Amino acid sequence: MTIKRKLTIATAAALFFVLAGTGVASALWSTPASVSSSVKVASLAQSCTVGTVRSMLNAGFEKPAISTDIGYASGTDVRVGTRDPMEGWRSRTNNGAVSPIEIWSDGARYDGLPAVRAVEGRQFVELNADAPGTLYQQLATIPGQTMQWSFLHRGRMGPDSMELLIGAPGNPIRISTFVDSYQSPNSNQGWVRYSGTYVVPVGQEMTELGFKSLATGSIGNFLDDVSFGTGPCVTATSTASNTAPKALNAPIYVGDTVTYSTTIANSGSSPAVASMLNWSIPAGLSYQAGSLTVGDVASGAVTGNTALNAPFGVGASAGVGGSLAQGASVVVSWKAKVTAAAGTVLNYTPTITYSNGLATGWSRTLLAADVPITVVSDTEKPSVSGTPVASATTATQATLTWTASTDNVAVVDYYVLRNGVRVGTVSATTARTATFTDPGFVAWSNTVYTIQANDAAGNFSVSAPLSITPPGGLAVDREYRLTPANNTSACLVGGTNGLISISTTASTCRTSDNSRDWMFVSDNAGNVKIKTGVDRYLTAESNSAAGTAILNANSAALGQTWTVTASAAGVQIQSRSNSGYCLTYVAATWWSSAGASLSRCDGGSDQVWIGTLR
Amino acid sequence: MRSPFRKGRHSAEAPKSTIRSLLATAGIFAVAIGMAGTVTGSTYAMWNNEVVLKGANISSGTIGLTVDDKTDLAITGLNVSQLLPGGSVVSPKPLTLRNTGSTRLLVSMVGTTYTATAPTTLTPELMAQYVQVSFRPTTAATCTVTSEKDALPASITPITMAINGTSTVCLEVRLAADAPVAFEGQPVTFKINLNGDQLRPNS
Repeated sequence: MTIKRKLTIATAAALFFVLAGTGVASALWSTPASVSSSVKVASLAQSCTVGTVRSMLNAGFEKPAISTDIGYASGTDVRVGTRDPMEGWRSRTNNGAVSPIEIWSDGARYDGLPAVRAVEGRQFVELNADAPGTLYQQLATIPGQTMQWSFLHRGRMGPDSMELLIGAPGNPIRISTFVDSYQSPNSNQGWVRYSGTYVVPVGQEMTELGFKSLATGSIGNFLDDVSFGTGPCVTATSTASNTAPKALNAPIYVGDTVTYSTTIANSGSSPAVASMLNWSIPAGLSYQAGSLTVGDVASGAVTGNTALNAPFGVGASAGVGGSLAQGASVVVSWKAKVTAAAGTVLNYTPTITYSNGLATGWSRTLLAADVPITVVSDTEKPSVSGTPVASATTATQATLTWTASTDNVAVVDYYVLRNGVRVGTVSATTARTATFTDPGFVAWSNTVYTIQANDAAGNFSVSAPLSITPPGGLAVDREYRLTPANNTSACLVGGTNGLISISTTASTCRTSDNSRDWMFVSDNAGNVKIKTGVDRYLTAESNSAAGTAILNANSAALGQTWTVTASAAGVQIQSRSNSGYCLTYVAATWWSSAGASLSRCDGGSDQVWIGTLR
Repeated sequence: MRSPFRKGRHSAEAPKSTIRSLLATAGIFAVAIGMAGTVTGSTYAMWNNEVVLKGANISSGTIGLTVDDKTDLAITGLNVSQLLPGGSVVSPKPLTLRNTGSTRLLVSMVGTTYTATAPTTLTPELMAQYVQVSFRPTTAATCTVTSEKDALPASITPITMAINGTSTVCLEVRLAADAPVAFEGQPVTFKINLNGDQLRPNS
């Protein structure tokens, strides 16, 4: 190589380093690396198929119950010395020997540290018992199913570490390592919840879950509230039935009251939280106020009588669902009256929402199977009610009472008919009688009352009539001879000269003469006017309380209205303008012929008049 | 027009002028640098091993970064325990970062990419929103799960690694507590991208 060539290469290399970078030009080198992986989010779909629910035993370490602050279980399936086995749980040392399980009572304290509170139940365990080891439980599993695990961990005197192992019995694999400390002074603090899932591998019929201490010695790693299972399994079953006193399976007619019940059960391995039943009551059902119950206790809310919302479970409150523990069930019940037409099919498919406690934000929805009802046509009339009976009748009011009707469904209400016109409606009750006070009653009006019993389907029956007639067997607009009860030979005579008199001759009284004919005319206010056949009206003179009764042309004067009430043998005729004074027969004397005047009403027979229809 | 490269190769057999030789040789280096950058995907001028020049060898050193002795490590076993909202999984053991080059490195985590791989129904954006990755230094022999009530530890900030130096890290992946139900049963594939930048010898 020539010198020139070497010089060329050297110069070129120098130029390259200047251009490409030796640090002076800041063209630094870089190299990448990467770490890739894949994780999977658990599926918490319910595992409710019969026989697939899996749940560990004694998850809270409550059995055997100890009577001291700290006690021991044998760690095997048999009693060892004074130590009973712990249901479900076994323990082995790191070299495989059986080791005892150390149990702590709620509130136990040791080494001068604050008492340690159990979070679940009244007992928990210390993983490091006499020596570091593994606490484990084995249970039958189905390959492919997702098992959910959860536990509480805390340190005893400092940071304690342990491993969660899950897998084939005797050879589980490490899931994770956990390190937690204790927290002073509040003794129920420091517990840390961990949770996750594990998918059972193919061919693994039994699965072991274990906790292996990584701490040395006999102190460390408290555990409580372990769960390992298939999660909540919520089912809902509904019924719809007629309501007592009817038979539960009786046909449902319009007007019947239907009782709906939904039994919600959790047969899984962990609680269902935020549990709630919702249903939109369809048209054709009228919710019965106050009938919604959860576990026989009035609860929940029905907004607008249609939106039914029933939180249930422990801790449930208005609008907030509670926790339904594994193995628990609850009944949500409510009632509605059927208003739909015959032939209508009414469905009931309430929605139950809840969450797995390990993923409270993942709300689940369960539709209860439908329990449809078909409204049956009702053509049967209510029975005829009892004939109404009037009481406490005044000039302007009458109170009616009648015995209740019955119906194949239910009597909804009664119409009170006065002279064929409905004047009132009385809702049916379970009472045997019903009453109604008619404020529109008018005495001297020949009133006829009937009671119409109705059912919800429009069927009805009408009672026998009750006629309320004027007193003394009298009637309005009919002509009578009026005879004083203490002188039946006499009669009241109305002349044309404005005076009234008494004829005491029976034969004369029987003679046809319209001056002796008296007619009662209703004033439509419970009183009457009394006129002669010659169209003159009996009038009380108003110049004195006693005064006399005369005849006048028709007018609006109060003195022309009279209150006629039944008396022993006839009627008593009392002035309304001269209150307390009655038309009174005055017998003839040696100085005066018989007559009629107004005297203070005293119930005497001279104030009783008998009307004889002409 | 003939390329400078080809022209450079033949110029050794029939040299013309000194200036032309200088430019031709520099062109060879330039092409080598360009090719190296293209192969690695780096925008930097990465150098590896040596380039043979007519009549001379120039060695520049090496640069390299591995995780558990791999430049692209794929971790299996993170899905033995599946994630629940708020829950985490950790790498079975700490991972070892190693500077395999002949220069000091400043190693940093440049980001995490998510991949929507069938059968997932999640988008990478949704994964990035709800799946958190912590790639954090550790001196412990094992990686432990962070309590659900605590935030995940921060990932590595740029760390200096000496030549042949190592550093251990734990990988923890958490599903956010408020992850929507759309995540249920879904796989999430991700890649943590690291970068090792050469440090100047005197820095």
